[in-house]
Amino acid sequence: MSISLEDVRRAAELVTFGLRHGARPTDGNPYGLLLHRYRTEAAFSELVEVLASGLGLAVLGTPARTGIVVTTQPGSVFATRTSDLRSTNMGPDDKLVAGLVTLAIAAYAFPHPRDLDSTDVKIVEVVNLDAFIRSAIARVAATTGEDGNDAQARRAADLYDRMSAFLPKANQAGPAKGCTQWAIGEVLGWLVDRGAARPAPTMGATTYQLTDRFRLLVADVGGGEALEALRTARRESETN
Amino acid sequence: MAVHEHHPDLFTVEDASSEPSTIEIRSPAGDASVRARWRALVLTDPVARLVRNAGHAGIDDDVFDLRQLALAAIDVAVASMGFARQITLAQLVDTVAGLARLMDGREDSAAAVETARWVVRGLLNDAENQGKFVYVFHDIRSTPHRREEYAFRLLSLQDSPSGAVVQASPQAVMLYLNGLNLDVDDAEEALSVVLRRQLDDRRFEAAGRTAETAERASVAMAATLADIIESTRRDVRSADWLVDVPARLARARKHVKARIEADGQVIGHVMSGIDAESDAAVRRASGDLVETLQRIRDVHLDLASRAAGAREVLQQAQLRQVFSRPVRLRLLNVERELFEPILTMTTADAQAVGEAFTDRILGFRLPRVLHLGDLVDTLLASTRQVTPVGYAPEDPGNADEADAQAYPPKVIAAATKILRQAEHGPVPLTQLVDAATAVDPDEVDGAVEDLIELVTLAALWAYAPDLPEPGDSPSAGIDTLIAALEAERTAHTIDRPMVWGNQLMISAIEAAS
Repeated sequence: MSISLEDVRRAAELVTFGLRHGARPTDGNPYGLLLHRYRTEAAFSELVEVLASGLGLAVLGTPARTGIVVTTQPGSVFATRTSDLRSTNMGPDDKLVAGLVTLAIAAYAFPHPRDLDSTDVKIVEVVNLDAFIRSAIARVAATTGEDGNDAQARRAADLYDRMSAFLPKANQAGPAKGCTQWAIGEVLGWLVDRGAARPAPTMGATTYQLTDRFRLLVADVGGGEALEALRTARRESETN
Repeated sequence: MAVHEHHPDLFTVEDASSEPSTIEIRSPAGDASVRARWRALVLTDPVARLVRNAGHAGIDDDVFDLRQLALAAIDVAVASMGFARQITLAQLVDTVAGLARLMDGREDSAAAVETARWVVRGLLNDAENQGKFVYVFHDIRSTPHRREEYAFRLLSLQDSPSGAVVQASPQAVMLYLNGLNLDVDDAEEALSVVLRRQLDDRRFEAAGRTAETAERASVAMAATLADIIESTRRDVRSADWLVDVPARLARARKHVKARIEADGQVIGHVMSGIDAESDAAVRRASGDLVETLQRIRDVHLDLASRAAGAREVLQQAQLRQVFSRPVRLRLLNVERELFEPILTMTTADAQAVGEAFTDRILGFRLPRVLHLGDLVDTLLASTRQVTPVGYAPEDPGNADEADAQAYPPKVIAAATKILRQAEHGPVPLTQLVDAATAVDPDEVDGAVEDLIELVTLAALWAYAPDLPEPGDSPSAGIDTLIAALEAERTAHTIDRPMVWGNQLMISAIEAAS
């Protein structure tokens, strides 16, 4: 197949849909048609991936309901920075705890490698996540990896252990800054902002649904000793 | 010695290991279907479990009929399958909560919602991370005996842009259809297997699958047409009624015409197969297929009616909108047309309006894309360490050397001598300055000006002394002397080449004792 300028334009359109978290592919709409073309025409899919790569993006997958899921390559202008996150006044300790929570959510939802192949949606709840992380702290602290992230994850586990699970706000409901439930809520909030989760208020005020996008993002994570320790803890909690 | 006599009770079983096994299959039909019936049985266990555990969650089983709510949840999920927009988790919970409210005479809305959540969570197997329900089947008829795991779901969630949509598993569909004694793992496959085995004409299966594929296309077409019709109602210019929409309508009509004919033929074939068939299972399976085909035909008929009524919608919209006030380009009054209306809205509505407005006025913004690994790396990154600047510490030099900024010892000695005049009685500053001026320059190595300055500073210090810091101890010499002086301003003035201003009267501080 020879590639025309029109094909390039179409490929760029599909990548643009990937950058819009709200875009929805259906059988008849332009997004759905482009997605179908991506799946059925090898040359077009290659064109989309090359074009995405040139923009500093990588195509993670194309689930039928979610559409094209892209992530960033190192140095991409589209990369999320900490200043883009809604809690911009985080101290170093807050960031460490947030990093541990991010890993923990991934491990909690996808403890087995096979879970990453299933399109089943995962529902998570802040209090349950907090209980899980606390139960896994000893295992994370026992890791011996010298990789920067692993050593920092141990520090984060120590910090997490010393933080209160819940501190009340002065005049309203919900956890106040400085407790672990607040930290979990913040991380889940970031994921919501990036289309990787959705609030599920009908299932509880602090319940969230993790999207297919999140599953693909987790599958793209390299891992590490801390993540593996958390996954092991989750698997053990499932069997108990 | 007491002898304990063993009395056999009801559950005492004689050791029969020496006897040959007498297990026989008494019912070949039962043996053949035991696995399937066992599976059908365990399919109901999740519902039984959620009812059993409801008390632990504070849900009153007497108030809420949890079994009925569970069945309703499955019914609703199954009913929405096959449509372009399946039911979302939130809608399912709301629907079940609505039913629960009808059961609760107390009109406790919160309890109904909590109950609905409990039921849906139970059907999703939320207790095990929404994984499959797993049960073990002991196959005692195989040699050696085996244990088989049977894993299934009732409801599962799939991601969609409108939220998590609920899907009923094949097993849940079978439960909903209430005990069709076939392979419960896959109703479609079961139908095709039974048909393949029992019916001569194997095209039933192909016809059924073709019909289902056509159904998906029909549902998608219906959804697209519905979108076009709805947008046309709002604005006739939103869709291309000159070329695109007529082409879509023609395609839909052609598809519907072909499918309705084919549906009729397939249904007729299956119905005739049912009439000629003596096997009850095949008859039931064929009946199910007929039911499926009839549902598909309904979808096709629905699509036909949408296609037929579409042009009428266009005409009505044209008539209505031709008299509408034209949209004019004008400047926005932010206060009256944005700010004040926003204040009267709910938070969610106001947020939507505010974000839309902000998006427009901010213009280009780069979308941010999440990379989970990079995010974790960033968050777990070590705090930036400040690299110590390599500087050479200043050499304090020889402490014994004279301070470059200090007064020469001779000047200090001369000043001390002059200031001691105040120990005998109050002396004006003029007198001290004059005494300093009169000193022989050789006595102070020519630093007469330094002497005058030192005497003046001592007088000023005595007038407004710095309070000593705790722990400071006055050093010996002139410091001690100055600390023992006090000065008062007088009404006179002093006017000397280096010193002028108010006259000060210097005197020694009287001892506290």
